[in-house]
Amino acid sequence: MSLLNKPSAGFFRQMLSGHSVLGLTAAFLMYVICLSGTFDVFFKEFWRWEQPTIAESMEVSGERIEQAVRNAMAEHNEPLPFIGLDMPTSDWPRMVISYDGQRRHVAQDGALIEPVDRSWAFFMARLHFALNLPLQLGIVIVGIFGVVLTALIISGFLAHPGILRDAFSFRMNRSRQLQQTDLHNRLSVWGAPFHFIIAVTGAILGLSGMVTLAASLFSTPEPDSASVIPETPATVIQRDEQQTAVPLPDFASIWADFTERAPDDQVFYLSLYDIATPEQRVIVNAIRPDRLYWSNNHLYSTEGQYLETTNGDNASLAGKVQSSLFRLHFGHFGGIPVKIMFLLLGAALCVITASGVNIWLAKRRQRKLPAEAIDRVWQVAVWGTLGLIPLSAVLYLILNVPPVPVFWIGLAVLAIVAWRAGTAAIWSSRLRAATWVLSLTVPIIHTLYYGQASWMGGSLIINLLWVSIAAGVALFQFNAALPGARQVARP
Amino acid sequence: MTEFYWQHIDSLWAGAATLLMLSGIALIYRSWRWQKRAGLVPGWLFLLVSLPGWSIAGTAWIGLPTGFSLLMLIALGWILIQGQWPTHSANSPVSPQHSASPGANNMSAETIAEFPSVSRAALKRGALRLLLAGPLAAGFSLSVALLLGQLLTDTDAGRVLVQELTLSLLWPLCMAWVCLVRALRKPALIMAGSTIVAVTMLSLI
Repeated sequence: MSLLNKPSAGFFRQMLSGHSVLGLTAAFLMYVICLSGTFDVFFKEFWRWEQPTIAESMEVSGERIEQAVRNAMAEHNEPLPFIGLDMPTSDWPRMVISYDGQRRHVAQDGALIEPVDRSWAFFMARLHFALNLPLQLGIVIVGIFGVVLTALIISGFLAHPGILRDAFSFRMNRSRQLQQTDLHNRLSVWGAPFHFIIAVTGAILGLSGMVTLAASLFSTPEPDSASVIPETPATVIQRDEQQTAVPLPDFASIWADFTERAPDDQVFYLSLYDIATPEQRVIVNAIRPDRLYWSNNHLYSTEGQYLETTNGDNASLAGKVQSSLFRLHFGHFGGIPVKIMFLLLGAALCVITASGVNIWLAKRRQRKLPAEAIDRVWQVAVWGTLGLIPLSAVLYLILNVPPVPVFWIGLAVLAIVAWRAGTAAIWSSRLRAATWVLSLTVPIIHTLYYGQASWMGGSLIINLLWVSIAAGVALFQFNAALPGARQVARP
Repeated sequence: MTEFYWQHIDSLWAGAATLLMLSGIALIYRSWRWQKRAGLVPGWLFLLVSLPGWSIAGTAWIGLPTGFSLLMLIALGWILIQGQWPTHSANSPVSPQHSASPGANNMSAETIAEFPSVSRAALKRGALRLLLAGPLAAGFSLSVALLLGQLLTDTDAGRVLVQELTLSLLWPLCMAWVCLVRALRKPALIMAGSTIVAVTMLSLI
């Protein structure tokens, strides 16, 4: 009992250390979400970068669609209930057909060519919206981090009433703590609207499943007539007979009608349901370039006649707002210029997260609390995360190594070693050096593999992004090595 | 048909709005740098007007978020340009006076000596705050969100939006509240009580 009442000083040190590690883990996960999200602004370009040799074209015709559908049906042999087509858009100028779990690129003549491979881009996307965890769990966790970020923004403003007074103070030639404080506060204040929108939309996107689940607990489910009637062998035979009887829709007339009906809309997906049955229908999903919400769903009958347009313009205001969240969150509403703006503002959010912990570490040092091991691990978290992303890309390009273990095991190993050995300054400096070297290696290897295709279209954007990261980190590295900056160096 | 985005943005309006942004930032900076209040109000006014300008240039849906993003980047760019940077010179401006951290000497010997007991209290309080800001605030926000969704709107889309927005704003507000207040009893009681009321009402509706 007395032990419970008066724990030893060692117990408190241990608890405090555990408490710090918990806080650090939360900050690290926040940083990973922000960093991967910054990369994911260009996720469509990353898809293209992974398969740069696929021919790109914005040309679409009814014949091309029909031929692709026929080829998919011929390859599959069995009746297909659904076929989907990713249509060429300005940031994804390729046609891809999806059927029965397969995804294939479609050539200009409708022939099915290479399967879609986006393993690395998929890793980055999953890292952002689920931390590479199982989806249902990961999305909610990331959503909760959206809530935490919103709370940090609100509490940050409330806790620093004088934050606007120093609106332009940016003293990078002063002490490290002042440097970090200025960096943190200036980026936070001037980037606040962006950060707030990103945090709230992220929270909504992440927690929508939780809201739906909770709402279903308080509502009475309505019987679903379709699920009540079981499919008998007779109905299956009947359906198969029908499938051979009904011809495919006339895609040429559908396409002609659509281009006349909505000449400015950008088609991004075309779905074909209940193929070759009397119930077959085509849905053309398109977005309006001057609207944030998606999408106008143009419905066509089996004869290729226009039936109606649902969602999009016809949705309620709430529906429009809700369907705008994704594009707003990822900056997919203004082409490359807006994506670059989101990239820079996202990078600012990463810097805010890193500098926030740096300030906290500086305060710990002032209070004579142990900070060295935590500082080392934090340097690994910041620079190791940034370095392991290009490393995973390099290993994937050369050896086809799955990026998830490279990233997470690599980080765990680095963190364990850093907890025990070295100094924060050495870890920071070496990881920065590794990061810029690796970031520069990625486009070099990509070019060695794909030649000229590495510097065209989506690949050009992504390889320039790698070069920019390398240049930025190298600049930071060399700037930190300047005599005047040496004592204020780390991240 | 599928090429889009920038041809839908009116370059004249966009250019004018961007110029207003630059002028606004310049005026605010001037008044901050030389402590002259004269430019402050026009500066903020320029910034405010520039956003509708972008809205006209590219609709409220596309132009407004584009304008906001641009404004933030212009401001941050301005800060980067006028900031004080380390120089190449070995006689850099980093003097001992400069490099001293603000508040570095604020910690008295007594405060440091008190730390173990402060830590103990801080640990307990931290754990309690975590519980209040996490599960309790989540339960409170979720139940209130569901109740508001049920009461305020009939349409499914409206209900879902109200619920999602309420949860995503109320939870962080509660989190911030719990983190900023000293006494935790009040937020704990309010959140727990409201959760019970909201869940009861939801069960009855």
